[in-house]
Amino acid sequence: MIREIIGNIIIGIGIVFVLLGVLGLYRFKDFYSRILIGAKVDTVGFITICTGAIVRSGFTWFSLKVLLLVGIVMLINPVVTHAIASSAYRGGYRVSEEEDSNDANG
Amino acid sequence: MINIFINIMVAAAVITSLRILIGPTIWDRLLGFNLLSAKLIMILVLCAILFDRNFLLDIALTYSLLGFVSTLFIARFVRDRGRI
Repeated sequence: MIREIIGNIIIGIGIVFVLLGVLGLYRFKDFYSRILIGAKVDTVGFITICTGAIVRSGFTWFSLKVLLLVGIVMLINPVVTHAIASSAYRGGYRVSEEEDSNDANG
Repeated sequence: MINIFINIMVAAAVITSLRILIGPTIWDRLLGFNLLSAKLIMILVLCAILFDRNFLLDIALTYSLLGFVSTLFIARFVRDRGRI
């Protein structure tokens, strides 16, 4: 019973991190700032939510699967973020061009 | 309590998917897709807690691996401007 309450509190903290990531996705006007904030905060939120799930479930088969999911996402998410940023940089996307187009539009 | 968490996460996923619609460049759309798939995996974990079923975690695992492969290859495809 006390374990469920602690797990709910940890999941709530993780959801606060995820909402900060959603706020940062719209707050910043630059692509590279957005990819930094979005990827980092979202990974922290995922790990915190899965930690809450593990604490809530105890030492069972369920928590072992959640631990495997955390391991795979911790391996995958930085690789995907680096692939997107590298694709933007090598594809010819620069920040100054974006600012100029913003000034021209607005 | 988990019901409220799932509602908040669905709202966050809908707000994230707006970035896919209004993104100025294609890389913004790719970033929005990546974050949306991460939020869907979190929703699946919360649903697995709520319904107490183990197979939803298998679905989350498969979805994360498929999202990884698709995002990686779309990023390479865009970087080389259509040449594979």
